[in-house]
Amino acid sequence: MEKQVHVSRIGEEFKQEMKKQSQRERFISWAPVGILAFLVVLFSIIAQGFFSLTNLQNLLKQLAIPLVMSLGLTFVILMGSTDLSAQGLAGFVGAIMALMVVNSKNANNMGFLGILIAVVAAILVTAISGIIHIKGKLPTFMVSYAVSSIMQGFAVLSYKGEPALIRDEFFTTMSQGSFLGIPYLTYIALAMFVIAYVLQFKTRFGSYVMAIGDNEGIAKNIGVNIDLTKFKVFLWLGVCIGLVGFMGAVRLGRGEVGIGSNLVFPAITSVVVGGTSLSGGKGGVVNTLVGAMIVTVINNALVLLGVSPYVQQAVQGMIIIAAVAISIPHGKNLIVK
Amino acid sequence: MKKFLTLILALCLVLSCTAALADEPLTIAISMRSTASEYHMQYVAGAELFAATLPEGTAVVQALPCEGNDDKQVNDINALIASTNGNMILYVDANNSPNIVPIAEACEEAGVYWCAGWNTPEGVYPMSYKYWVNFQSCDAVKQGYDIAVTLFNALPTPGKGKICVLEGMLANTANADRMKGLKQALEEYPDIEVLDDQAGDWATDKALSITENWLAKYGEDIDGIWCACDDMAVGVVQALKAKDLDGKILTTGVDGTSAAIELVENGQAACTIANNGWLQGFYACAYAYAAKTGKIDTETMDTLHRCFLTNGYLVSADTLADYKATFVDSQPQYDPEDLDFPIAGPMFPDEA
Amino acid sequence: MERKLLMTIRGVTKQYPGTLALNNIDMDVYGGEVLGLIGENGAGKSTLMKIMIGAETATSGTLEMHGKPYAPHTPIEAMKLGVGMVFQEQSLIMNLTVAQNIYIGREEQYVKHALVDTRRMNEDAQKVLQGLEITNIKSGTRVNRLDFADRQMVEIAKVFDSVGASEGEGSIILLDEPTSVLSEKEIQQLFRHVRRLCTRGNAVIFVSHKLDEVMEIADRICVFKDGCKVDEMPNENLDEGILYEKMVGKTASGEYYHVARQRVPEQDVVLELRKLCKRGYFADVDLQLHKGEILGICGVVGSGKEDLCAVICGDEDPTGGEILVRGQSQRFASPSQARKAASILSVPRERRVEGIIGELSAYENICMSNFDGVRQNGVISDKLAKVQAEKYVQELSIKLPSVNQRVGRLSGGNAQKVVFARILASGCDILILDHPTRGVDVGAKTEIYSIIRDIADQGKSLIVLGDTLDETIGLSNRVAVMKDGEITKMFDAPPDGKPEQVDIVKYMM
Repeated sequence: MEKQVHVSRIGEEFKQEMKKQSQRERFISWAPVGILAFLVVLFSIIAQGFFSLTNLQNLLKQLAIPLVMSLGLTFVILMGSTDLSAQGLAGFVGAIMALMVVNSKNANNMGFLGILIAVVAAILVTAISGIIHIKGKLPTFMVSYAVSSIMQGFAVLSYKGEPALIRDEFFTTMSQGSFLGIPYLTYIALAMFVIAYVLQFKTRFGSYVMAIGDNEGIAKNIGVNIDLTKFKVFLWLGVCIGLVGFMGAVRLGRGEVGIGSNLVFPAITSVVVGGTSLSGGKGGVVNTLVGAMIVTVINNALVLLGVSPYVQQAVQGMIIIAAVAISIPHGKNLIVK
Repeated sequence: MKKFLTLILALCLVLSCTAALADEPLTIAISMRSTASEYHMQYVAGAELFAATLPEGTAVVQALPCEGNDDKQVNDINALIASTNGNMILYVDANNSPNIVPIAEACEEAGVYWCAGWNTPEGVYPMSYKYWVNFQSCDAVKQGYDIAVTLFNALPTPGKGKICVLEGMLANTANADRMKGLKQALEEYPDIEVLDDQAGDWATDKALSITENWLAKYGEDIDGIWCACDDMAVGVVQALKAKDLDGKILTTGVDGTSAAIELVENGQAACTIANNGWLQGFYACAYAYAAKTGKIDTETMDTLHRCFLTNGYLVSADTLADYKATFVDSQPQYDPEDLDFPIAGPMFPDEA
Repeated sequence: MERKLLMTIRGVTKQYPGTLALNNIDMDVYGGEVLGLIGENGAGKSTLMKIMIGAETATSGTLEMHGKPYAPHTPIEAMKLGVGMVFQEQSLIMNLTVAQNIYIGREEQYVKHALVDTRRMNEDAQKVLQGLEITNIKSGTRVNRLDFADRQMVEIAKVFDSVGASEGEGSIILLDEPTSVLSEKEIQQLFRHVRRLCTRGNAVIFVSHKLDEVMEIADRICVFKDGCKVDEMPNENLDEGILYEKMVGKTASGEYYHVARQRVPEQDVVLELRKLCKRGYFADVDLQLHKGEILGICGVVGSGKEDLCAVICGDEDPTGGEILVRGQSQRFASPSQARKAASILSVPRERRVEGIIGELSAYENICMSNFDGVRQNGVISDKLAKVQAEKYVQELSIKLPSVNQRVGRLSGGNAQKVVFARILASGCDILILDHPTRGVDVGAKTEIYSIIRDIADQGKSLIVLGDTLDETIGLSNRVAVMKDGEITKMFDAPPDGKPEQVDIVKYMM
């Protein structure tokens, strides 16, 4: 047999296949942006009032809270987990925050301190649920659901049936006012986006979250402190939920438990539609921004189109399935659970 | 960690047991959806008003919120019957209509006199039971009609203009009935045009977003927003405020929450209807107590007293002062002896 | 150059349940040398490397590094002590950049005010790549944008740099099949760098199936077989023939495989492959399987034999060529369609994961591939299923307390017999057996060989990927040898003229 050091035909083909696959992935990674552009153009043409300054402001306003919520969940999902605690926790934060600033139910006037206390409370709660998950090895899904119920209970207790109306002038103007045409709440959301961006791309924390989501075994071998990183993810989630509770209360003008009720699943949807994989390790905060925009635009345009409320939810569901189908890879032997 | 959790769990159990052991005054139980609802809490306040008419220390009021869970509602009632040995009376606002049946059976077995409000399955009424004293409800069609008429008359040109309709949750009985009332009113006011109809699922934040979107589409073409409940009205006004249109575009509500009363006071909402949970809670207890003490006999009561509609209180600019004087600045006063007082009309007018 | 002893390995043994993966290994690693490790799949090379980098712990025996006891618990600890490994399955985080991957876990030097100085990190990473003469990769690119070979080079750069950072006393780098996706030019680059590392007093351990490469780069070669180190020799005047002979395992007696019962297959061709291709995995495979024949396929990992079987049973799609079943051209959308339409059934290698359902009882497992046989009036009858199961339990002498026994509790041999009962109950007559005796003890193995003979006697045809080369030869009527996705040789293996393992290995490597 002759001696040969060579690369076989199969090797060549294999390299080509891998190249094709990575091209395909690159294409898919741009899909959410394409979908967003398509929807914007489509709705501008067919929906009366969509392409107007007022509506742009509406979109920016309606984007703010879902965006912050999704940014909080992005790191959780990048890690391959899920968290439902916002449902009750955001309501709790909104309720106690409303009770601490000037309000209709008591004589408190703590101003910014009130917000700070509310947000810190949210961080403490997610920190505790993080510890239960990490040390107790209980799945985040269940832990966070339980935590959500508990906080919902506390929220209701805190105002005994009658939500506090916010009377603090600073906050009432905050919900309405804008600077350079952009609503104040949207600035908060954009600032959170910048912070999330820095966290993902400019810190060790960002790399480690990605590593854990990609393959926890590798991350461990590399020397990543997995428990600590996960704990930090929960802290970040707490910050976001705290802000969401605060922003929700400001936007509605009162602290009621309903603030968080329609938030979690749309936020998870935003993250996934943006192209972040639910199994972790793929995607990130930029994807989330695009995803949150897609979901907001759909909600907004369906009302503008005057779509009958009876079919609206069905239409929304179908658009989301279509968007997800385009933005994630498929394959015959890809096992998805 | 696990041990710690177990400990907490054990502690909760022990606490709830000791609570159950304390005796023995009559328990007045109010089973409703949630303590988060101001209106549901009015039942409890009404029950407390009634308890105050009894000798001190002979009755305690207990709220049983089911938090939207059918099973929890039935289980909690059964548990309370067991722990009080049946020494209780009960008012139930069923989470879903079918829940009435197991509750009725449990009370029948334990000999607990009770009343129900709002929800019962078609054909299931107190007349078939000994211990189910009566069933009361509000006329939701009338509510929808009343707020519509009040709104139409409060428009810049009374009786003429363009409105948007914000429904509650589709496929919900109360919502469907209020919509029916709205349609009756629209037939009587042909100059009112409906621009759009959306469902806000009874939620403040959804109402807020939908209104923002309407304003982008129709702008100041909108003269009024017919809104099916108070929580949503708060969201509607919040969106109007941002465009400085609150007070110019009026909205409506139903339930009579303090937030909505304030909207009426500020001229941002045309009206709301207080369902008057105090009245409902008070007289449900009064009836059940009267039956328990033998003052009335369910075997001989007529249909009108066993199924009737109660009046809400339409709070508009005109009636605001009176409402506040009666319900906000003081406690409403009811007479437990005057059992005809709450009856506004028969539930089955044909039979009357 | 004076050779400095870096690591000594003494009496290292690794016992897995049911198998002895490493048996009393002694080995020395010297600074400045490239040590080649060769051996068949499962000879113990990988296990030894895992122990060296702390991913596994030895059952007994000791390791010393620089004269001090060495027992790392994690790869990161091993790396700090100067031992790093380039994994065959890459350990890169796809969504991070090249630089982030190279420095992950070691970012301290670039962190200022909690932020990573990405620019400086990218520059340094670029220098690391340049040091390895890698010029086509930008350090700021995300790894999932690179092609497979470039990823391999990044992986190598990462390990070289992190081990190099702790150099000084001399480090050890382990390369597991590093060349499988590299081009000729990249391989030469890699070799140059391996030599450069060695001249600085480090050692490189090189593991590959490609004997020619091992002979080109290694200074010393250790041969592994069945968990033992069978020989160790300097790489001088060696020829491949000698190495082949040392690598192949012992030959068991014909009786063990029931060779006397081997029958001559019939003339009918039940399955024929014509120029079957799957791009990137195998190409132009022509093969005929006769009625009652046992056809063995051998080849190293990556030769394409597993992928070929996956295509035949419908689990993967071919990209070219034809599959003819009894003369009819067929395409399968899924394994279940292959079973129904063409009577082809595949029995996977990972029995615990893919072959049986441990939570179900034996009788439920047995009827799993063919519910039609136990249906009564349209519904599945437990009674019929149990009767059927009883029959096979007797026939195959499966040791069970009852057919209600949960399969998860059974020993490897009995669980595998349950799998065979399922195969027989399926009624399929083209069977693909992937490592049919994996994890089965010696006694049960010979029973399973007997069952395989029974199946062939019933006129069914089998494709066998044996656990060892000897097994494949012993069982088969013919043996196909695959290398780099092509069939390189077809051997006849009649009872009286079985081919030698050495001859087959030549065509595999």
